[in-house]
Amino acid sequence: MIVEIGAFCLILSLILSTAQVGLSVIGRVRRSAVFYGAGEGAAGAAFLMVLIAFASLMYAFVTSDFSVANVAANSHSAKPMLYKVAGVWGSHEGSMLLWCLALTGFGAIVALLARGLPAAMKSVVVASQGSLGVLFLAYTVFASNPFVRLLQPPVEGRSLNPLLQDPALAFHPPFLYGGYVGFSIVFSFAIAALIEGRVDAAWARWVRPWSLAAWSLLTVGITLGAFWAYYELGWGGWWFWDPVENASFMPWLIGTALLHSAVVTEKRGALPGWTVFLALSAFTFSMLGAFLVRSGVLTSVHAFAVDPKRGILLLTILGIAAGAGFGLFAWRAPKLAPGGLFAPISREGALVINNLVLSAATVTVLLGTLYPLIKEALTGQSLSVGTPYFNLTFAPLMGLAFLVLPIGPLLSWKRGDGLGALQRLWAAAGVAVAVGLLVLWIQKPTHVAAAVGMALGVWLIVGVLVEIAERIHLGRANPAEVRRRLGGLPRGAWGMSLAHAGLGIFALGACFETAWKIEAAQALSVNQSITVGTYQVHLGDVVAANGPNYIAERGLVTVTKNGKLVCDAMPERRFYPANSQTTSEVALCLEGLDDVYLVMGERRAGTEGQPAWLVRAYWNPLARLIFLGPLLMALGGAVSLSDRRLRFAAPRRAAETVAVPVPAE
Amino acid sequence: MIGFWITAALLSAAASYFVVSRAARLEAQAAGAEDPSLDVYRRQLREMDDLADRGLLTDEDYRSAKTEAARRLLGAADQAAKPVSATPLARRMVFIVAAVLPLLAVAAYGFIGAPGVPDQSFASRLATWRKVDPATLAPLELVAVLQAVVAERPKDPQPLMFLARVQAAVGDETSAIRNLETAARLAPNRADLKTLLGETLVIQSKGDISPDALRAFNEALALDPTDPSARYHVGRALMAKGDVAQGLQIWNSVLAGLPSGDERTGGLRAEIAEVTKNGGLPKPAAVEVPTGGADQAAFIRSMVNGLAARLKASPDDPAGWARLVRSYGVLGETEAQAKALAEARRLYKDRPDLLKTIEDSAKPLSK
Repeated sequence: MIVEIGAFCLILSLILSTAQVGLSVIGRVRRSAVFYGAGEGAAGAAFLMVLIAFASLMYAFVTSDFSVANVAANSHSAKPMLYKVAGVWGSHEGSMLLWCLALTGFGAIVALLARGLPAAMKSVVVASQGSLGVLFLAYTVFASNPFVRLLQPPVEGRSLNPLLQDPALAFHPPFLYGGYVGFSIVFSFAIAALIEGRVDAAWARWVRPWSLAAWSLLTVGITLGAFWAYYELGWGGWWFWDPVENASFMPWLIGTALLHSAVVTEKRGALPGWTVFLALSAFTFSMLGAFLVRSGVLTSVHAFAVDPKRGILLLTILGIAAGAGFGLFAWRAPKLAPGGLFAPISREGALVINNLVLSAATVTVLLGTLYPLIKEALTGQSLSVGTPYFNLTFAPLMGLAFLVLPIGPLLSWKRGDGLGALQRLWAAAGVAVAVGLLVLWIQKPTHVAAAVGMALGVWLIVGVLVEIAERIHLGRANPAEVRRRLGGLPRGAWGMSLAHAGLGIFALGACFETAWKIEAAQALSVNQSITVGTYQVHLGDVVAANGPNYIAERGLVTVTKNGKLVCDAMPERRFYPANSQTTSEVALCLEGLDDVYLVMGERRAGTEGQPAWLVRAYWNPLARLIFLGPLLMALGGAVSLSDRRLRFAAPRRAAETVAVPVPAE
Repeated sequence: MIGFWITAALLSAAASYFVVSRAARLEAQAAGAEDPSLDVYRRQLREMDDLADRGLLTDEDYRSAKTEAARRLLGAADQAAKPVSATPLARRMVFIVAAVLPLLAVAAYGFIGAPGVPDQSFASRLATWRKVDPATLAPLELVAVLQAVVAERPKDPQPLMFLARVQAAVGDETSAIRNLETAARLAPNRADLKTLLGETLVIQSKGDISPDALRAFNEALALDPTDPSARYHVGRALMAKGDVAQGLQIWNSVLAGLPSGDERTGGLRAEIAEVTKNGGLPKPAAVEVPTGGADQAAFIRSMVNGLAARLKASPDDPAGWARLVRSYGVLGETEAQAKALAEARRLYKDRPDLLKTIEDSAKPLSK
């Protein structure tokens, strides 16, 4: 009964979302509070119904109900509980339900909790969000229904792809979808702004928390995905410019541009049309990502559901939603009131450069992702666009963004003192250049690009410190005043600093790891060793280690440095009988911020008749910074979000109790 | 069934109530509501005062920003939202919509859903299988039952052995081997478990007697030197290494030791004749599956039959169909192969990618 209740609730949510659109539109046309409320109620009820449907599907997975086709295709009775739960979003159908849950969830939050919005604008936001809900729920119900039943259920399920049976990947989709779908609210706000003809400071303030929340969730989602790729796929890399990775990266880049552009609109009322354009683009890129991953047009380790028919439907949804959004933009944007003026050298100017660079970077990623598809469609020739293309196009653009980034926060709004800002950053520039030269001199082999990247990373981090020092008058005021100013810094400012420093930390890790990682590989029998960098890797034994749904050979490896034990590691080679699939479980030895990364290959004939295993060992210097940096950025987003004035509901209490510090970002 | 409709009715009522109650609430709140954007601008002004108080804004910046924000406040006040209306007609319309929603959902569910199909958790299905005669169960159901028995009696080698036999029969040799290894560890003095382990390893390696399999047969013979299957395979391994005379000697000895009427006698005698005639074992490339040994042949036959039965019970297994089609091809059963292929084509007519893999399985392995 529970499964069928889920199926019923999913259909009811589609009906409710349709009602949400109709009631909200009538409310807006008639300016009727009754209809406004009914539309909002429908939004809340639609979310509740999707939540029940989602819980029902989870119940089917947890109880291994193989009469549900989706469970039979993606689960197994012997699968550990975590992956039974994660199996809900491990399939195409389940992940679409998660998408709908997030979509209706965000819609319900706006409808029921956002009290500080003008009623007319809110009704359009609710109607727009409802329209997106109708599109995706209709797709889920009619073309991708996770509750389809099998009259003759199989005895066992086919299980989840073993590569996806991993903690990082269990949590990766909810964050990723939170980010993707979070941009839907921003999209709906943009639609409302265009219909209402109103893009002003107040609008930007309403949009910012949603952009921040979606961006932070997406940052965590992408980081978890990169970390999963790092230790689960066993190739030692963390980013491959894989089309599906790019699909999640493009909305992130646009979302980053939107965050900055919305600040300009909020503070100065400037760039209204551009901010709306970015708001529409962020969710459009999210939908593009959904299409790319599911349509089968891309070949990727991540493309978990490839179905051309469904791909066409998703493309249609993308066309309808983006077409409506940008069509409205083309019609209404010219009528938007122009914003405040500013000089080229100003905080706004720096943010415009930031936006231009981020947009150009998004276009390069888009081209690199789609060009092979277009080329193949037109000429039939297959083509691969890989790291060299992105190093030549994306990296220089990001270098420019990094260069400008610390200068922006030191410039005033409207008209800034560029020379003054640069003078205040001389210390940061000096440290950055020194680090770059030091790296060039010490680290061999020489990698100029990596040294420049590290210098830019240091430039960002020290730039953040300089900016904070400037704000609190460090060295210019007495200690008590400095402490008072430090305590008075708003959370928004801390959030910005954390995010910028996180980016610098990421740059340090990414450049160093990529340029100076060391790899060694050798077939080792028991009691043999290899050396990687300054580490000795000794294979002590290989034992059987069977899990609940797999059979494994586990290497007992000791990693030492100059005779001192660094760690005992246990790389595994697992075989999952339910999938007839073998995976490598990487062992990571953490030493400081470095990783010693160990992969064990399959058994083969060694010397003197002894079995041997191909052991690949990497020394990945500063690798942990690659993941810590983005997490710090996401934390920055969360800290900014906790700033009272940016809370979703914009509670009246906040307006009544005035003492709210203003972020000066 | 009635429980489902009661729950669905309650949920629908809750959804309708949500719509109506929110409408009533907003109608009550609407009177005297102010444009909230005014509040945003007022807050901005207060924030600037606060910023100036903290010394985080210069006088010039403060004046300029305050003027701009004040201008926005005045502009917003001019465009304040028009009052909202509420009429009895609007209320009636909302009530009608709220009442119609559940009806539409029920109608749509009637088309799309599967009313009356109960939940079928694995635990409840397993409990049902455990109550019936095992002979009536499909192989995979038997596997599930035996796995449950093994979980209850982890120290007992017997259910492990039964489980391994069925697993091997349905083509899951890897799990069968793992379970036989466990069983052999639990009962180190049972030669039959070692022999069964060796035989399963041979099946897994498609007829080759791997070092692991040979070790298992030798361990079986150390426990029971008369074990005919272990001796047969050791003899076969010797022949594969080129020691045909020694191998034949062992096979002849096995043949002599088989009781009269043993069904393996005919097959073994034929194999001895063939090896004697050819001066060695047939070349492995000619056959994918080993042809020797009545035990082995029976086992392979049971494996293929088990697979066919499993696919009949749960047909949605493209890899299984590919394996079945290939197995029939190897066994030379073209009619059965064509039948299996036709069934797979019917099942996967909309999935050309899967069908191609299955059809490829029908092609000969060596040209």
